[in-house]
Amino acid sequence: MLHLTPDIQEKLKTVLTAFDGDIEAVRQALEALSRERDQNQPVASSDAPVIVELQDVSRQYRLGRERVGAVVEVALKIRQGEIVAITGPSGSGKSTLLNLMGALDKPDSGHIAIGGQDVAGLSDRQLSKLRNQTIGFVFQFFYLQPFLDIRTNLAVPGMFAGLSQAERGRRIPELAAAVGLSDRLDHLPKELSGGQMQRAAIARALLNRPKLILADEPTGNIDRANARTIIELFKSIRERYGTTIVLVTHDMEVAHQADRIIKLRDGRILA
Amino acid sequence: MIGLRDCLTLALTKLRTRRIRLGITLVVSGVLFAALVAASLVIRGSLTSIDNFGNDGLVKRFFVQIMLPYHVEYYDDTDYIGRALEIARERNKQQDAAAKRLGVAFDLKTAPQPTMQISDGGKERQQLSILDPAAQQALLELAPRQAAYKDVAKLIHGQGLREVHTSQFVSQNLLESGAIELTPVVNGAEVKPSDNPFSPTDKDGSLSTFGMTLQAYDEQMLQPFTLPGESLTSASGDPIPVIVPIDAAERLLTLKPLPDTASASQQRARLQEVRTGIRDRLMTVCYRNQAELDRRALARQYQQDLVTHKSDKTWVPPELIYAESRQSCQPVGVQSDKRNAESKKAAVAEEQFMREFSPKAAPLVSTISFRVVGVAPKASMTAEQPSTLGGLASSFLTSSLGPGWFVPTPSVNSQPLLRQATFSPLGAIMEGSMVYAEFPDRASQRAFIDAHNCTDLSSPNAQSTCAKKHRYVMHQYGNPLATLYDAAPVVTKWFQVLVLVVAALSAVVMMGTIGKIIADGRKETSVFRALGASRLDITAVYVFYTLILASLAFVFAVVLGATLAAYMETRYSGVLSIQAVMAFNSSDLNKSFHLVGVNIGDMLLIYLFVLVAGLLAAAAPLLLNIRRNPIKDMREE
Repeated sequence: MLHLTPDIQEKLKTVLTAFDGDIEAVRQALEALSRERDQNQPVASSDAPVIVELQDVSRQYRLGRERVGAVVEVALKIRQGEIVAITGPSGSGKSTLLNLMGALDKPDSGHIAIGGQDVAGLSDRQLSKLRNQTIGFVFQFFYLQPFLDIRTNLAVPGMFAGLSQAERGRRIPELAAAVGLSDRLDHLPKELSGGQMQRAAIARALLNRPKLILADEPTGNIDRANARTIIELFKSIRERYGTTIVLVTHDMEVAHQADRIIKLRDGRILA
Repeated sequence: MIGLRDCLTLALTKLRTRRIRLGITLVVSGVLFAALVAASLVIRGSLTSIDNFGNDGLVKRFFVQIMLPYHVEYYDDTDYIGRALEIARERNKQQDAAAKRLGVAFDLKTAPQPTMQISDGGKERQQLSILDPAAQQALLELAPRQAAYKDVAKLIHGQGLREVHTSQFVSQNLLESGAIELTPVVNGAEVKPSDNPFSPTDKDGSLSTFGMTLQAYDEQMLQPFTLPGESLTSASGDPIPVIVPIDAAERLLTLKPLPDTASASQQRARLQEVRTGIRDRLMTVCYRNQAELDRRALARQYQQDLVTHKSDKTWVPPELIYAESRQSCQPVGVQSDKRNAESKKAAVAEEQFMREFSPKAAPLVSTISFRVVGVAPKASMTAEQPSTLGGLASSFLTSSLGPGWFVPTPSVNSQPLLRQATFSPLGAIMEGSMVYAEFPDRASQRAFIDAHNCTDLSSPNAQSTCAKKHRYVMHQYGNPLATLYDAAPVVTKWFQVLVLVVAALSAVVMMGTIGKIIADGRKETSVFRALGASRLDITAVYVFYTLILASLAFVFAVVLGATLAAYMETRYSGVLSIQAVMAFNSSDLNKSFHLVGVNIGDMLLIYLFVLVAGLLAAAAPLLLNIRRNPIKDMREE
């Protein structure tokens, strides 16, 4: 469901009632409204600390003999507690941008700071620790371990963090309750629905209490009803843990649930 | 860094993928290593079993068998040849005088000569004719008596030596002093002798081996092979103690030989029966010298001629006809003598002439008695070809004495007939004899061989040349497994090479599976990397997986190898036990020879190599995997 301010709603009504068959005029009016809406989206707090900062970040990929700019001179800041949606057509660089934010990929130029720490020059071990402690990843295809029950799946990031068994024993039931899977902890992933699997993946991402969740098409592989649930879950997580959430999505309905939408085209952020 | 428990949790999940490929890998690798496990179990078991036989036979005694060289250069020595010719001239002079005195025809030109012409690379030269009495006398006069023996004794007495023993083939000396025959007499009938002990002419080959394989040893060498309480000493005139092959003992006891398929318990019962029944059994052997054999040949020839000329009325029988006695071991008698007085007189003169110059020319037939004091393995080897695994395994469980009949040397010397018959000039100067030096331990035995073995036998007269440098042809002797022990370093080396080859093969086999598992796990690796796993964490998980896989292969190998070894134990232990009891003359018939023995060191070594094979198999795919860009793998997904 769209959440528009009364002012925007009024302007939209004016545009729609004034429609005289000129489609291009309506499209431009709607885009202007959209930009106005995005700029007016409520952010967590303008003085909240910046959790992710990209400065003129570019990343190219080799496609045959040519080098293609997946991300071109992107600069952005994401503050703590924000829910930010990255949208754009296929090949616009959404996932690449997400991976750069997640320190899974390194830029060809520019600087990336996560949690105030410049990721350039970090060793594999330091990067792994950063991903493990500061970032939680959620994937379109969930990527749960098929032969481990949900309880053990949720524990995986804790394994790499050296989280004690006792601490895992405390956190996992709490997270399972938060995502509504308390009764599914001893089940295998194949015994869960798509929505449940994605909720399990979100709980897994939260185990090490990261400041930032990066979700790549988190609703791309589930039905609309479950998609709404996932978005609501992200919101409640933000409220509960103060977690910053960046999600990549094609789904504008999902994107509009975010505090802010960043649109990409050809690797660039649209103004 | 990921903990061990978590590592195990994640590694175990990988065992649940690609199960068919995993199963094939485990079976193939397991089978390869199972062969090593089985080999280790059987080798260790056999060595332990040999130890269990302790002081039976010569199992724990350390002998060096030294061959005293034939000094063939004596035969070419001009001094020896000169002396032999001198003796021959003197002999011929006496023979010529005696011939004239007795009226016997004697031609100096056709008289036996002490030398013969031999061709050496187209060059003619003279050499002593060793069978000629003049040549033999020259040797006895001039050749150093027991020179090599004394040298060897001197060498070994300074080296912690315990005993020196000698052995000789009685038959060898008998042949040197002229053909004779030794024929066992059983139930009043002589057993036809054999020319070849390995291809006997009598029905079962058990007794005909006597004449050709009779060997004389010092008492100390034979004592371990006697029955409990038996003595090898005998007074002059008493029966000679003898150790008989078991098949001959069965024949003497008129027992039907056991079939080849006889079980171990049947063989054990038979050995018990033989040992009990054969003790102190007397055996008669008929001795005939060459002159007696010549007369017997004439008697047999006459019988043959009778048949051949049955309808030939022109055939004229000889004037003097010999006939074999119907009784065993009796001299050939005269059946008819139609010679005239002059012929008889000439024959008497001829006989007197021969007796003067050749004392052994008189026909002699006599019985010699033997008393059985021990049982040895079969003398005939024709039925013991190691065509089966059991036969092969048992081939090293042979008596140190080897196949044959054995008598103590003092008893041979105390029996006038044998002593006279077995005297030989070569024996007197100890050429070609065997000497046994006993050492207190294996190290001193080995050291002596290393110091004094004659190794370069390629040149002519090599043994004589070696002897001048106090070196002789020698071998370890006694412990039947000494060769195996000596081969141990080589066996160990080849075993290690085999382990390496098996490990390499196994690594290749495992690489297929592990490589596939790791390749399949690229997506998972990307996810783990996104969830915070370092490259080290990923490596740890796969190393753990590899170790589990290798451990499962090892467990499979141990189970399979142990099963194989247990099968061999069940199949062959009983037969080997009885063969070992017989070969080593164990008094305890129930002593067992087991084929399974566990050596923890071997098992750990094999396990180590299984692990190394697994890690080698995992190394390349794992290195490739952790170096990959996780983003790329996720994008491909």
